[in-house]
Amino acid sequence: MAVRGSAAGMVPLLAALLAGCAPDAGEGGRVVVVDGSSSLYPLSEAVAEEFAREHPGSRIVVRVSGTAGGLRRLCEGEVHVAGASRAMTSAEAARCRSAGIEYLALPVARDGVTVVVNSGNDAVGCLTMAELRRLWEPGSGVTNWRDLRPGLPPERVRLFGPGTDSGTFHFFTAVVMGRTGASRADHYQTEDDHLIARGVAGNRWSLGYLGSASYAASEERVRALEVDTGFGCVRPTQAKIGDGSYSPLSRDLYIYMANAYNNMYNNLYTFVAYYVSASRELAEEAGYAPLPSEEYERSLALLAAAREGSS
Amino acid sequence: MRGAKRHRDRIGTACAVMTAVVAAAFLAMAAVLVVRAWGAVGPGFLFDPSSRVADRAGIGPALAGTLWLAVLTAAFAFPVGVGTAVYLEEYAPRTGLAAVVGGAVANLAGVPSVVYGVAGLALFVRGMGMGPTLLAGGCTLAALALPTVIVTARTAIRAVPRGLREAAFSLGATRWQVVRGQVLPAAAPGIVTGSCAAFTRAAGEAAPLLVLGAVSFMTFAPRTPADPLTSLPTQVFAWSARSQQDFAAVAAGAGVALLLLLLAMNLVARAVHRRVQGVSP
Repeated sequence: MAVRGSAAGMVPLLAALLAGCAPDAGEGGRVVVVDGSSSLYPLSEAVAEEFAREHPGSRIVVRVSGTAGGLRRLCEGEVHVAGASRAMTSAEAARCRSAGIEYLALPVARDGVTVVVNSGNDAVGCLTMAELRRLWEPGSGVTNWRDLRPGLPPERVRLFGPGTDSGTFHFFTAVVMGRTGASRADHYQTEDDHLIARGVAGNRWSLGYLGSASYAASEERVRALEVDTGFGCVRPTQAKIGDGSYSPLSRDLYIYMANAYNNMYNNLYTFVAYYVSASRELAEEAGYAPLPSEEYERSLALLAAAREGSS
Repeated sequence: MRGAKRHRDRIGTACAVMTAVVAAAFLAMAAVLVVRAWGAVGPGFLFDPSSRVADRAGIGPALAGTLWLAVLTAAFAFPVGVGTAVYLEEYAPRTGLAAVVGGAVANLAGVPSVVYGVAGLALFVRGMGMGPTLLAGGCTLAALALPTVIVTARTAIRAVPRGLREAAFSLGATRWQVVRGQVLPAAAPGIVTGSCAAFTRAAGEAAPLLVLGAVSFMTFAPRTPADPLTSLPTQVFAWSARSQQDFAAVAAGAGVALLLLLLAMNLVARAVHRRVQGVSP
């Protein structure tokens, strides 16, 4: 008897479930989905949190799947805002075009790719671009700190780096090796910067590279190296990243907004406009260098024009 | 004789010691979590969304996500699992295809959970176009729980005395009447207990959900199965991956909440068990 009762109770339950699972173009689907670069995650999270505080009931979701993953999903119509730590490639743009998805690229912060070592590593303070290249190039024979520079301890270098879907990976390999994607592969790779910081924090003779906000979040456990690009060693501080002294390892971070949901996602514009204008303050708090004010003004104007044009 | 008895006593003592060790280990783990979580848990912890500031971070969306996942998993896996078990035990021939299916199901129970995540990503998230939603998560966890549900339900059905069936058949009952009137009521306690163990285990899984695309942060608690995928285990993972030390405490708090939730689910299972047992002949 009891069994039959519960089986009968299952029918309306299942019906309710199926009704709830209908495709969500309408009311229930007004979730703004932010995906993409883990270098931009701390900013996206801060913006989403503050936006929700000022707009109670707003529905924002933040995921991390790397710059390439985020842009791919943007062009497949799965996400509305993609954080990117590099500009979209022409292949990616073509995919967006063929899917009929227009987009806006809005710079929101400047960040420096930061090379980090364990806080307990006091042997090295600055690396030259040439040393970085020898360390990370494909087929690199550097396995030991002493291979990198005579005088460094004969300890094994344990490397932690971003995975191939990461914009930081694309950017770093392009700048340091001169060819996008050229990197040794015999090390731990992840799209999540936090895990890189944790890996480096866990081993005294390790080294890794990550976005400056992720570094700022783990400053107590890992130490940033200075980088010598030929004009002396430069520490990747917010000021040096902001004024360009940390080039060529500093770069602008963008959000790409899909411009295809104007009717359905009125709140998308509100959110993205908030993202741009709040970035100035939140970028600094989250460990990036803010952009010059004109850049934010230009983005807001672009956004207003897009909204005008689509309504 | 006396030697054998003393031997048995020694085995008894050894078993008691092992039980004590296990109990102490579990208590110690729970105590560590509670101690680490102490102070990190504010008034809004149960209802607030996560935050970039550890003091403000809560488990509202994650808790709602886990409750949804538990319901969806049970709703999908229970009828399908029990139905399969009834068919395999009461209807199917003992040889041929059914026997192969039965053996395969038993093997599936041992497949690592992350493999279900990969399959769920291909089948539910992409293939059926569900996207990374709670629905896709529930389907994946149901697939994960299904083999265990089937295996335990089969065992419970097999334990029903043959005499019960034969008596019913001799009174002219059809096979379905025997199953519904005799076998299922008698096997119900075992089926419920085994299934609930499978559901609580599924509710504690993080790996398959991370593969499907669980969120890192969301500002609201999910209200329908079509909402984005989040759960307590994935939230614990997201927090413990962070570098800031104070998030370790928040992660421990979420861990305590998960433990309490699983405990509550077990208590519910036992209550159902007792009720079902009371009703059965």
